[in-house]
Amino acid sequence: MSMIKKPFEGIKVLDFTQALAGVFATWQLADLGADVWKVERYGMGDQSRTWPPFINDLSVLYASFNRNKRSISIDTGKDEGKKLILELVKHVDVVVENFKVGTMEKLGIGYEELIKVNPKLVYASAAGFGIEGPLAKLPCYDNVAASRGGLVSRTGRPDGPPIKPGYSVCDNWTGLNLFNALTMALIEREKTGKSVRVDVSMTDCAFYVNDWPMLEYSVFGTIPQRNGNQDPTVAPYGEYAAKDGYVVLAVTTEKTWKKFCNLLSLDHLLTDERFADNDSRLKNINDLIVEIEKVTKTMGKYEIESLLAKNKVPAGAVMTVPEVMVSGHALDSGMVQVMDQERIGKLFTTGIPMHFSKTPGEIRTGSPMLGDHSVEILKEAGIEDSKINSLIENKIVEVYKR
Amino acid sequence: MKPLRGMKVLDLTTLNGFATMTLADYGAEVVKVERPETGDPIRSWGPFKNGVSPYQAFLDRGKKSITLDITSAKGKEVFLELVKEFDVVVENFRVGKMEELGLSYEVLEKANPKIILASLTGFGAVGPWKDFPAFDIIVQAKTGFMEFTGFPDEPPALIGFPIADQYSCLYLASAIGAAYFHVLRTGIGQHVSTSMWEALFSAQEDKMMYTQLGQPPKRLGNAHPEINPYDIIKCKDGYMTLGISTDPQWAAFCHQFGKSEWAEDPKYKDMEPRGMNYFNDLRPKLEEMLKEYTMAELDAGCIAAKVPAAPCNTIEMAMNDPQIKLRKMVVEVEDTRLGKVSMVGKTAKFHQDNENDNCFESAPNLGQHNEVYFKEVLKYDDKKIADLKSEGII
Repeated sequence: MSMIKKPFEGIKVLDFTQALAGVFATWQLADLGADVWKVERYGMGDQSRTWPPFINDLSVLYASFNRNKRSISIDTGKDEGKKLILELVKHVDVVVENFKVGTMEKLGIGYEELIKVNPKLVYASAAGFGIEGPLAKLPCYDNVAASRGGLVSRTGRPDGPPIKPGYSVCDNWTGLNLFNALTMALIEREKTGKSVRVDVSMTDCAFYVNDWPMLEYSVFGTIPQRNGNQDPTVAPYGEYAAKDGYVVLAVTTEKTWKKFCNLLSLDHLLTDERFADNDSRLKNINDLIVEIEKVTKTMGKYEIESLLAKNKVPAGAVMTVPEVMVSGHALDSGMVQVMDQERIGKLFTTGIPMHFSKTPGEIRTGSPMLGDHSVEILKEAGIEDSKINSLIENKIVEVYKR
Repeated sequence: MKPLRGMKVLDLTTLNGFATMTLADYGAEVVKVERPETGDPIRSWGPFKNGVSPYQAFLDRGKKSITLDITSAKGKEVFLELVKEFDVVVENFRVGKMEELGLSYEVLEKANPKIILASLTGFGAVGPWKDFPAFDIIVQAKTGFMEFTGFPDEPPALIGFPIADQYSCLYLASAIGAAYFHVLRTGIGQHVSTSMWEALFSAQEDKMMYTQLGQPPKRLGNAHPEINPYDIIKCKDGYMTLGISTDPQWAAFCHQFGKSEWAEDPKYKDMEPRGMNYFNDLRPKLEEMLKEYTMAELDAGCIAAKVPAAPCNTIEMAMNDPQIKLRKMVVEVEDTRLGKVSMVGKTAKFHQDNENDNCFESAPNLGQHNEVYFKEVLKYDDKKIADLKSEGII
């Protein structure tokens, strides 16, 4: 058996990312065993530490994206701080950053400087629009990238405004793309022993989800319009009101349609010309919704789900996160975990969605306090105690005090 | 740069080739193992052009294709011989099907201890929902994602693209990458897996923690609850997104569009009162103002003033956006059957990339590479190949 128990065990990451997109990527690395040294600004740390809501003065958003990482707080604006970064870079495999384009260079710790001290470095960046081009230096947030990239144009009713997905999709989807890029960069470096530089942009990642409609536009010249809560090609396939919420239905064959009508006592629809086949049902979708909801509105969402699902008619209750997290599935699958979080105690967190039969990921620690690991990281990087003390006295390095 | 060059993948997936497409895009040799005669059902996904499914042309770009009936005893034998020559097997059968076929991880491992088996399911291998059908819409409903999207006074909104497919396939590709890295370091293969439900649920951010705080999260449409205008607002010819998140950004926006008085107004000057006065007061005023401008005018003004904002681009507009073009997110693929097709490019930009790294080979016809793999890789002679063919194995 190998001594390496996790996919990224032994890989050290100097992590300058803040807020969400880049932070999501290094979180995945940390879950899979990488040793992530989160470099935070002296005095204030990652800006997401200031974002509500809080439990005991700790941002739960920060807590949810930074587990398994260690925090070292450095004033990178000072010359001595910069020198310290160049020293730490010698000891790591990966640097990740999502500053405004040009910031690392301005700080004197850009890619070219870093590979002088570590020629085998993997260097990865996430930016709003990418590291080059007319928009590169402009500020960008989740909703901005989602809009420019055409992602928001996909959701909502045809006669209503576009709708942004409820979560910060551009942040965590970009983070996932960056994680995949980092995985590939590590493979490349393992094979060649040479430095690799890679970047991803939020706008590119937003644009990527337009793969199907773009293809249809190219081949057929048509662009599908957003279609609210119903599928434009299959009916009934969409969202329907229940007595206590909503259910989704995915009735994709005539056989399933018959079964669906039987189960919900909607047999009269089977002989109704308006709903004779998929094309007619699509044409008369508004009538169809009225007829189906006459029944679904009298039933509970779980009642509908279990009746249909038991009989192999694809259906599901539209659930809230509080409902999902206490479901038997969330518990059995291990996707709801509890971690020990300093300042809070037991805190809910998601499980790891990637399973490895021989090198599983692990939730080792909650998210770090600002500068909680400054001293131990500096020691591991071979810096002498007297030097560490002077860095702390000169306010180059901050240490968390309990 | 093709970081995955040298990685050899046997692709058993049907109707969902995103994960293996990602591997192929970055240089892996991906060989689709398809049912003789009919192939991956994606090939019969209409509408068609020249009798070919554009979806197959897209998802299978850069891949190879062989035919092999892995449900037959002989086909299984051939498959296990191939496994010895490959690094990864990817499948998205229903839970338990690989075991039924006699192709469990343990069987594959015996043939090749370095092999990585990668499995994608709808809801995972355990739990009461494990046999739920893997439709994207059902996963959106049962993760809480859908309930959190849309306006508070309207039903939850269905996200208009297959978001659970996208997340789960990229997680799977990443897990394959991580397991391959482990093979490079130790020579030990393993079984990796993810599911649509686990992948999408993992994107719930801090919503469980809100719940723990006793503040169950509520959908809010497009606006931010406290920081505004972080919203989508109708303009003359479409919709404009504002991402204004700081006071200087707000002031810059006001000055740029001749509303300097708003920058000074105590109701709007600072973030907190601006947020409190947003929905009932400032938003209607912004709606009035934006009505007078086109998306292009607003975009140009916001860029000039360095205000985070963007037009709500349609797909056609996004395809022609200079920044997106420059990033090579639209690529032309010469499909052998369809001719030139525009497709989405890659998101990971390696700085050692050259022009060729943004070019993709055409998707294969069914069984196009049988000769390469049966004759050159497995060294079967013509008679053996003819026999397998006549028996319907390949």
